[in-house]
Amino acid sequence: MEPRHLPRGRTALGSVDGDVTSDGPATIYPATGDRIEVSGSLELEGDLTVEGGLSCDALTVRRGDLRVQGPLLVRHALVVRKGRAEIEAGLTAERVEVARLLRCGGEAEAREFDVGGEFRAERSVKAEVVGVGGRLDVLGTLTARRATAGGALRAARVEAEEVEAGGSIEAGQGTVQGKIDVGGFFESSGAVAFGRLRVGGRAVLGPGSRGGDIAVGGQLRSGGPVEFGDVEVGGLVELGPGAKGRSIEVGGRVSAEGALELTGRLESGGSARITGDLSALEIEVGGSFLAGSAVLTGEAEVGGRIETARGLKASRIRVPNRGFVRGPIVGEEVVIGKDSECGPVWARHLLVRPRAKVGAVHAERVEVESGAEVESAEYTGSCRVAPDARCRTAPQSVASLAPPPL
Amino acid sequence: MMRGGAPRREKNDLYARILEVIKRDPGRARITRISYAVGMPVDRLKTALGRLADHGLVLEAEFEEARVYLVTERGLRFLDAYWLLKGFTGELEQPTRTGK
Repeated sequence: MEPRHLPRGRTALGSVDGDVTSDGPATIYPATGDRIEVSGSLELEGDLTVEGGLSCDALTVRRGDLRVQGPLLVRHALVVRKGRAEIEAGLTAERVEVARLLRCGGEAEAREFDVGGEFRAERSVKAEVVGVGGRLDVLGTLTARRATAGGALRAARVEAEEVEAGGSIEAGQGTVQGKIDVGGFFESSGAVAFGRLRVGGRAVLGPGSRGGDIAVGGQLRSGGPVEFGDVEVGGLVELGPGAKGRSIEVGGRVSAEGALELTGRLESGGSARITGDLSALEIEVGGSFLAGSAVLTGEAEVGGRIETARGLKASRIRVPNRGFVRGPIVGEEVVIGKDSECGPVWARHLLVRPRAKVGAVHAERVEVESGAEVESAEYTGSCRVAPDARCRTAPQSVASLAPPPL
Repeated sequence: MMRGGAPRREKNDLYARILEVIKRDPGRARITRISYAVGMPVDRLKTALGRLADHGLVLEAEFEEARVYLVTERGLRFLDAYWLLKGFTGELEQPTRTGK
């Protein structure tokens, strides 16, 4: 059957049995009703404007733009090789390939969207794969197995297995079962569930977000309660109240407004500041450590000041030489470094190094080295004080120690 | 000093954008497609791609009878370093708790 050839200008089309072609720009409108039905395909060399809805088998615009003022249903491929496609209502196709810009005013559904420049969806997008060279902007829900954008990806809600963008991802909320991978910045304003999150620059997690491991080159922030696996950040971590996870390793500093609950390590190259209570396996902090309280099952190693309101408890605590501790410390093995200043200590074994100044001491075994100064000492086992060390009140052997604060 | 520094940063931003687009479209990153994605005319993009290729950050290849661009290992390292630095720069621009 010969294809129907469209003349330039406006043409009324009803139901067409077969294919439709045109050599130049064409405008078509429904002869009756609000939709044109083409059983075959449309192949156009120039711009095509459809003043209404259109359904066809396939639609190819070789040169120029496509504009459809109603819904568009393409049973196989919609291809706009060099230009833009603007669909005022919904778009349904098996496969969509647009070179520059795809704008869709209604729901957009296809097995695959492949857009070279920008894809703007004013409602939701549903696809198996969405690939956009530049920007993907979805005002509704983006549902896809895989969605990628070379530049920015933004969606009010994301339901996907994998999401990837070169520049940034902004998501209102949603679930990404696998990996979220962003070169630049990631931000979720609401709760996002994810398998893994990898961000080159900065990540901001909305309250209620939860997921697995997080790797961020620059900064990680959250404004509310979040849950995570292992966190590795090059720059800084700032968490809101109620953060829970496995471990945090940060090159710069870490801070948490409120409590922080970890089952593993907290490691910070710079300072760590937790305004609430910290629970973790162990901590290694290069700079100062501040917390409401800290209860660790393992070791605490802090390079700078230790300041707590209610105390620090760990199996082994090493206060560095010239260190400073405010607040009680409670440990199995506690070493107070040379020339340090420290508040009250509860320990099984306490070693006070030369010239350190310590508050009240409660320990099974106490050793105070040369030039050190202890406010008072009660012990249940042994107490050895160097001849030139000073105990302001005489050490007292007791049957049981005063209870520790933690 | 400042006038000399700013344009270099903008160029790096542009190079990073181009590399991210190529990286996320393996085997299909033709010059027109990169141009649509980055929003940059083809002639200027050719110059930028030439520079990236000269520094071993991208390479040209033939794929399905078309010339496409690929990001090299060195290009991926550039991107990692670029975003890492961006993150740190953002951190340094944040006010500290003491307001300094």
